[in-house]
Amino acid sequence: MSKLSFRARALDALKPLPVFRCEDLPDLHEYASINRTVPQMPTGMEKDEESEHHLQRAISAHHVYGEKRDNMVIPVPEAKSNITYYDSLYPGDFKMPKQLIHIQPFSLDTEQPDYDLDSEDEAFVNKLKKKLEVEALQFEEMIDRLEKGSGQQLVTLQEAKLLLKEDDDLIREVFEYWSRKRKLCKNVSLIPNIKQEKRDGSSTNDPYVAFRRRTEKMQTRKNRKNDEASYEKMLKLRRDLSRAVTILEMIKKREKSKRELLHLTLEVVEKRNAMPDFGSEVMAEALAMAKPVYKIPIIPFSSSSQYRHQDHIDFKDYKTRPEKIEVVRTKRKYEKKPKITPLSAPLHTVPSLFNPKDLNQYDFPSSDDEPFSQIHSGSSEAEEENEPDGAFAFRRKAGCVYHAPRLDQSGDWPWSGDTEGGSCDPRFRYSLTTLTIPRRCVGLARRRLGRGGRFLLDRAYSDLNGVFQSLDTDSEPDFSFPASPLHLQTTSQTVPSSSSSQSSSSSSSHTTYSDLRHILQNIKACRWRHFKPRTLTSQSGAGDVLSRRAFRGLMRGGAGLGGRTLGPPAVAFTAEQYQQHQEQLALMQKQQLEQIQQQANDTGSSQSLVSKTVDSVSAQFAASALMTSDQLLTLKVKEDGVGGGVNGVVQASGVYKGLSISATSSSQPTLTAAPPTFLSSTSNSNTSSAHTVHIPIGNHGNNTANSTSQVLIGNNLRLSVTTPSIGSLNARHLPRSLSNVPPTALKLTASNCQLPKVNTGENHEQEKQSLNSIAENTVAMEVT
Amino acid sequence: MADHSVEITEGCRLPVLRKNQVNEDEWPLAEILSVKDIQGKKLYYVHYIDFNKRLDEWVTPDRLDIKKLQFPKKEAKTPMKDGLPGSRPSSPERDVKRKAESVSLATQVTAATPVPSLPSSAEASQASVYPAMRDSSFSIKSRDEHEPLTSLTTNGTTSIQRHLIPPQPGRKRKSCGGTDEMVKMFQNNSPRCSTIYLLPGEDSQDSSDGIPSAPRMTGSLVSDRSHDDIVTRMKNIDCIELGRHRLKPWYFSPYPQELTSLLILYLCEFCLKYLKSLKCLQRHLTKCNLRHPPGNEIYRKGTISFFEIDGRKNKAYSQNLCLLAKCFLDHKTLYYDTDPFLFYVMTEYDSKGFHIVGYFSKEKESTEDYNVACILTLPPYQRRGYGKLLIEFSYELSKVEGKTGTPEKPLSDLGLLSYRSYWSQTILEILMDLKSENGERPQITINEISEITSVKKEDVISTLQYLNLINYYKGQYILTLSEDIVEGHERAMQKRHLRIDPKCLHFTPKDWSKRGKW
Repeated sequence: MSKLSFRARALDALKPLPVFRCEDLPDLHEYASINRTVPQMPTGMEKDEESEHHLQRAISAHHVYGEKRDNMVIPVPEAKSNITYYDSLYPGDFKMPKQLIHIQPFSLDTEQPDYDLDSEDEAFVNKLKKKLEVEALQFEEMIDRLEKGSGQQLVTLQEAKLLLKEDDDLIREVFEYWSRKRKLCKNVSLIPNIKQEKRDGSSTNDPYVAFRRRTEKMQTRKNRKNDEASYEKMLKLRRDLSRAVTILEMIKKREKSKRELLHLTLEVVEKRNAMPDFGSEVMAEALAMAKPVYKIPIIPFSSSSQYRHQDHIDFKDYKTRPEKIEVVRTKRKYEKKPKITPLSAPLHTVPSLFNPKDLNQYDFPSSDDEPFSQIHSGSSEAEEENEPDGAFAFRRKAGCVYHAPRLDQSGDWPWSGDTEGGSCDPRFRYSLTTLTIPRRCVGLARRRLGRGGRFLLDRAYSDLNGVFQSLDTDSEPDFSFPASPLHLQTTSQTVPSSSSSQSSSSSSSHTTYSDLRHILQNIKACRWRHFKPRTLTSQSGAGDVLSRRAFRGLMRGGAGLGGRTLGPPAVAFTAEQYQQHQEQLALMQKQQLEQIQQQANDTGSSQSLVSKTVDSVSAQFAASALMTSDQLLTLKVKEDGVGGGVNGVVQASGVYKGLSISATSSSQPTLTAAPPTFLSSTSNSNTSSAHTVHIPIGNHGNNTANSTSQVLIGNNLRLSVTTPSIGSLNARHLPRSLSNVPPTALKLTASNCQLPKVNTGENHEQEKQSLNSIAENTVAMEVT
Repeated sequence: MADHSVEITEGCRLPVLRKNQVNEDEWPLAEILSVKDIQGKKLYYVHYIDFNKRLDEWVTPDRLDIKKLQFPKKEAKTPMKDGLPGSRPSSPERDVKRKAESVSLATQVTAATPVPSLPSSAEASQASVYPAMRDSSFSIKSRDEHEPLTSLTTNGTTSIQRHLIPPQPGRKRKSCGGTDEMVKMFQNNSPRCSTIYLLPGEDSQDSSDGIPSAPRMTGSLVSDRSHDDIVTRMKNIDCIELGRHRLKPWYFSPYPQELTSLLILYLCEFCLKYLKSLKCLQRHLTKCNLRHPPGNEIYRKGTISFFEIDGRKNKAYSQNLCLLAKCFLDHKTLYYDTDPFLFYVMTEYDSKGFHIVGYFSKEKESTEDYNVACILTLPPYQRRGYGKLLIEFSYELSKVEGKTGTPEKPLSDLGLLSYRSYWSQTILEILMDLKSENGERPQITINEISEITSVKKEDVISTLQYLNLINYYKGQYILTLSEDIVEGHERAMQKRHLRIDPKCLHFTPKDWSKRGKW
């Protein structure tokens, strides 16, 4: 026992063990008792079996004799290898290939029947051979097919005839034989098969069920990364596939209705033939009776006009981007098309909006003339080359009935007179109109209420225009802007647009002021039917945006008609614009609320003064910024301005193509209203950097933010603003509004920025949107 | 003898006559597992206690020694709730589910056997800890007879209880420490085990819900619960004809049930398809043009070749091979499909083709360092060195892979002997070849042995222990080679002429963790 008093160290697999021969260690036995300290390793057998008699005997025999003795071997059931007919069964002509055998995948799939003929079958086949021509293999194939064709229920003779290619007599014979044999055998199948698991899980313990599927996923731990990636790929694949399914279903639907149409046409023709209506008088009558009533979608008619007069689609819309269309066509970048092709943009249309693309979205060129699908697919390039009008050529639209113009009746528009069937609404009469800024009369114009309560001014030409211009002499002295040459210049360029945005010049800060002024104006206007536009709610900054909005797509053709109101107002609103507008409305409402709050806090007069100075500053600011952009520059705007400490630097690595931003007088009012937006977007980008601040006015907006912000903009544009010590004035009330702006309001979506639609009236629209734009915007702006 | 009024039912025990290898009469105690009546003549399926199941057989009544009949005890229904080891589990759900004709009296008998007071003997401790793995009623007896238990038993039991007390399902699939066997047992047989070892009050949890639990997904040797079924305890195929051989199956195999009544089940020698008659086999052979296992030959030396078969790509062959192998492997489970396995089929060539000699399967990805799942030399080729060749080949593959490996557990008796023999020879080969450097004693670490041979470290240690080579001498462990060992080894190596030649192996391991290749 004394030897056991110390513990041996555990066996260390890393420690070298010297190897001795026993004869070299005569004293080894003295240490023998310690050997027990080596932990006993398990044998790896199941313990009850380990104790089995024969194994123990074999093990002990090994210990005793050092090797196996025959009678100590574990007995096993016998096996014999004396099959006499073996040689006849298997041919003995197989030569070992020189090379290692390599199995080609799928080479094992032979089309041999699984069923093997048994003696009973053989007798039957032999008997059958006397009557019909049948081979054993053929018979096996037939049985095989019958077996595999039947599940729980046996195949019927009819089904068998479909399954089998042989002639009917043979099928009948074999079928009868098979069904008889099948009934006699109680098994599931004549081809013995391993029992399959049942779906309900009842077969879990059935010992005859084998090779169950592994339901659980195998371990994925080792390649988790891989799994995630492939999971995402699978998701994408699924999405794509489901999209394909949708498309296919649409096609199916379409083709169905086409077939229906065909049938109906056929029916009509047959009916006419039976009538007989060869002169198509009956047809005409019927058609007249069933005159389809097309409902013009109820939206401001300025926008609906586009669809009724597609051939008139505002030319300017296209003019601005012809080369883009070209680019897209040649590149055939499928995904980009929806964004840039003129008519496919509103993939996300507002539901209420009727859109021709919706009709054609799932159409394919397989159908007859479908202008839009052609534009989409770009498949008609050659065709277009022949047509000088290209994309603007008139194409009949499916489902439309085109009538010849009725010269006797010019229309039933609300503005037309009684003679023309109109309601002669006084609102639509042209009257003298005066703009508040600049203070002048623009001559005859009529006012329309646009969407969202915006005013549209349609001007009419009259000989007296010169007189009208001079009419407007009364001035409002306290409402003056520092007159910069730029300001004047641009104003003259864009009279119609500026007029309306002038109306909005009464921005939030000088509310009380403008209220008075407007009352005055209204009185005047009433007196001599001289309309001076004004904002809806004088308190809100929303007004100017709204009114500026009104200028989108303002028809520029109307003025030439000299007061005649025959032509439809060719104001083009596109769906995007509408949507854009909706979004901005939301934003405006927010801002409005904020400003109301502000005003509650601030005293009116001082506030207004302050903002006015800022206005002028920012106007200049913006003007200079725009000027630089005008020159197609890589932007580098350094602004000192009156504010002094403004060090806004915009660095743009890209070039603004086709963006002809011109500073308009109307940009001035914008600026005052804009800051909340700017600020909020800036601040947002500070925190989340999800939003991007963009182009010159973005710089402007950043100035008001009293923090250093560096904003990365989607496409290479980087805007960095260093501590604007000025901003002060705006900053005073702006920070407050910041907190109130919910992120949703900041998200003027990508579609906001539709560069091609830029015309003078929309410039600041563009600019402003761009401030809030997310990366997509920059794409739309084509900043490269 | 059998026409006594006493009815011999399942679960009865009595001595049964059998001939031993030298054709002497023996009367080992046997348990009646099943009774069948063929034309008025009764046949009894007997399991000789303490003999391997492969020797179970149908016997005529005249071989039964009725006088020593022991009846199963009725109160056996109540399993040993005290958690004492040694009681045969009689889990209620099994008894309920068991078919009427095969009332499991076996379990009842065992449970009824008076539980011996905690026995004590080192060697049998393990056996008593795991008595319930299968038809283990005899384990009690064996303990009584040969190997009393040690206190280790209690330790083992308590540790088991500790593992079992939190009956979390997830637990069952994880190893919760302890020896391999324990882990394995819990993974696979938790329902059964819990019935045995659960503390009072807990015993009904697993069994009463009746929700069948599937065995774990990895590995191939795991006995699922159906293993418990009396059906799987009985051979169901009488005879298999494969090529020129007629094989007597050792164990149950889930061939289609309609084929189990056949006197002879015919297999195609090359594709291993099962056929009900010679005629069918003949017909099949006109259509089957295989002359070798349908896989890539990755080794050839002389007439010996190895073919690699992907259990996913070649399902039909893999399944047929598994069905055949199941006839000779008790613990093999065919519960799940063959997808995660590769099959290495060893063949011997002659002018008729490449004849299957044996095979081993291997998990494509083993979480437990298994380099072999199932391994089998077909009975006609046994005891001729092919088994060792298969084992050697499996380690050669591991060497190419640069891993160490070990066979999946549990080992069978023959598996243990073969592996031990292989390990012993491999390790002794290394030890004997060690040259002393600069006059010092040659020395080697266990890890080095493991790296050279690809035999897992634990197996190296167990072999060294088994051969009694590890000795503690003057403060350190040494390896001693006795004369007996050296002589025995030299003799054995002379007989071992079948060897794997690594130069003939053309094998590039695949990275199966890249899922796409499956």
